[in-house]
Amino acid sequence: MEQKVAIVSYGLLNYRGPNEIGLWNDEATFLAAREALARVGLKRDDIDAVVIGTMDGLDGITISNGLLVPAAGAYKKDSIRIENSGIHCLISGLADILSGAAEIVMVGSSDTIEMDFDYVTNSNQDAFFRGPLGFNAWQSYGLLAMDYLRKTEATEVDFARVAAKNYQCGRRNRFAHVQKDYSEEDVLASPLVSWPLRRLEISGLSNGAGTLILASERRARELTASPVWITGIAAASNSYLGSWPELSGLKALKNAATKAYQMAGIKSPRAELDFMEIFNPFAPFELMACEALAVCPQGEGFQLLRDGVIYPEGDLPVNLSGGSLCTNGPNSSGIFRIIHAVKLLKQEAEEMSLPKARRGLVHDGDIGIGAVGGDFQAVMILEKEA
Amino acid sequence: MPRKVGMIGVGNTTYTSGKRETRERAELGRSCVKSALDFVGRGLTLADIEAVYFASVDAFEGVQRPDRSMDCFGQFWGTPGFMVNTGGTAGGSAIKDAYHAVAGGLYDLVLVYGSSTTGATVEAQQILNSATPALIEKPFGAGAVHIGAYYLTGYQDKYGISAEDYALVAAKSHKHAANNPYAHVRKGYSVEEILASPMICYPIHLYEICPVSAGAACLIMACEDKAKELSDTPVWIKAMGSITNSYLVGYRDFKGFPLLKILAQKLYQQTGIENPLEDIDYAELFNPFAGFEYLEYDALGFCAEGKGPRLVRDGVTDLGGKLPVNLSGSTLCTNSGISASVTRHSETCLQLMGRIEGGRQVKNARVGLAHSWGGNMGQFHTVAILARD
Repeated sequence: MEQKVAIVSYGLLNYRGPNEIGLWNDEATFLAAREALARVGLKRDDIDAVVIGTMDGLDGITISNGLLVPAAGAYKKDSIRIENSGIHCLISGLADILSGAAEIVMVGSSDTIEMDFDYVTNSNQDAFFRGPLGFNAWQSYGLLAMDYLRKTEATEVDFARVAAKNYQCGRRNRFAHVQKDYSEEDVLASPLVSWPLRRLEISGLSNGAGTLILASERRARELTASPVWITGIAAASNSYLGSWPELSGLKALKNAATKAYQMAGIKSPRAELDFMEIFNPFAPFELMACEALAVCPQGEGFQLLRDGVIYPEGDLPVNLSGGSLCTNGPNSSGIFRIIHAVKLLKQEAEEMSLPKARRGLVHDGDIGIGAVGGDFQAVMILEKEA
Repeated sequence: MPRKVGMIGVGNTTYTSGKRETRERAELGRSCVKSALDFVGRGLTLADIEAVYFASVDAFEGVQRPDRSMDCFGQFWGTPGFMVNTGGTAGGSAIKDAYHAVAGGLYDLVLVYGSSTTGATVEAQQILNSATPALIEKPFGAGAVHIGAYYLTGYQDKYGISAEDYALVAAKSHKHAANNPYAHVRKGYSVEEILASPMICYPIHLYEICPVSAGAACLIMACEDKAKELSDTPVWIKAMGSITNSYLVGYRDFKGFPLLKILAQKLYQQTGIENPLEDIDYAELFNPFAGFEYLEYDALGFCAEGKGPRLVRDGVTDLGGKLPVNLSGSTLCTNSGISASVTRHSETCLQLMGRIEGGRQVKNARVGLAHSWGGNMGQFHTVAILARD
């Protein structure tokens, strides 16, 4: 990128369980947007454009951006809503700035509505093959996890262990929804819900909201002493029916990662990244994603876990936020992870500091509504200055 | 410096009634995308497209995220996709986002697809009703036509617009739709026939309301180098933007589109347009209810407020006039949900390229304006100013 674009501020609500937040979507969005503005002394009038990342089905109404964009400050301004993921929204905000159309962009997402998640995640399947089978998010997670077990030497114990690692991190993050210190044994003892996945290996649904403010280099330097720069960002897709032969290949994720690394000039991700925040709506996805993100050889993601590399005290901590197992706003989980990455780089993550962290990776996508094929994935590299 | 962005290819399917549609979602997608690639020619294939912007409203398609199961947008090659949903303006919003991405250097060649939307639902009005504020408006059962009626009664009240005035502008669209092979309702209804059609929601007659159509439209856009390489007649986006109104509508007076006026003035300033009637050669305005065209004339500065009917009576906005508007037959005659907002841009693009069929081509059109409207009670507008060399 010729121009530099930074994340200069964020607003984040404490995530809660469904029906525990006591706010409407627009109220939650408003609170998070107001916090982000106040943090850097901006007013609503300073915003040039608003990008909202939610899906209608997950908001329970049609054209839900109508409700949400004014709450994020869009009145009389440019606004858009992108449904794929939080990082897809950032690509849109980035384009607004790179094209000269905006200098300050508010990006936000929220979850406060109780909906029938099985129904919504079934309705994005095709009407002929998978739809009538009742195929939904949980089943697709099971298929991927099963394929991973078959193709690698990973075991169900590895799955439980990676889940426990996430819960231990979430326990220390006061913004996380699930704050329970579940152990490997607790996870293994939880009921099997979509073989080979157990209840505590699949994320529940969380309510909350998060916002980010993007700024051009000029404005970023005026607004904050510690801007977090977007140095790499890319998205990719995968075919729907055509993806069956290689269930767990994660073609889209590999593709997005390759482009993002190239943009950020990263040649050896394992050595050059200080932490990663990965979308893991089911525990083993974290291991599969590590392979797709090329931080270990294909089929050896579980080895990173066994060697302690991806633990908080390891070389490359993954999901210090507690990951999606602890906090899964079906709309806003990507924004939640990006905010956590920003906090880690700005040394603002309470009780979870990584003093030497200079460069982190965030992964996002729409696998939360079904993970086998038809998935849109995105990868972003964030950096702070020396 | 932002890069120049050109529209180089237009894709269409034929249009029919939502109830008669037999083509499957991805089938429509494939044929629409192929027609755009063929339009460009020069060996362009789907693999060359670097990103796809998919415009739709999920529930109108009866599914969540319809783009996920349509394997016709280059997913085989991993092409990034962005699903844009801002209601009726989704096509305009997607084009704006694609424009920014290309101008900002993220992609060189992109495709914007306006999905065939409303044909797939059992009852679209019930779904649309869920877009309205839950406590106050929703219980009234507000649907699309009610939104139209709010504006058209308010406008009628303020400017003394007659039923004939509204029928006149509807007849202009019907006349041209009859000659547009890509229009759905091609009956060419006269003013008399329109006035004699059933009153649906005062002051709107049946023939002043868009149909529920099925069919898709798409556009291929490129950075300057690619646009020049792939097209002899690229149509450049000179400026484009959107504007957002509040969600609650209690204090709106429904006598015009004041936010559209703000947006238009901003874009006119950016492009040096001082007198829109003189400086713009062609416009496609979003009018699911025929009378909207008058409110849009006012907001876009085509005439003094409330004087739209005179423009139509004098033929100023008809073929051969100073600023022809909606020679496609407009949204009034073809409203395939979200694809209609892409069509406003693609029709303007075709006019500027000089490739309009059916004797509707405007001579020497160089500068065009495309508009889209949508969201609860018309919460959003987008406007694009287009020009050819």
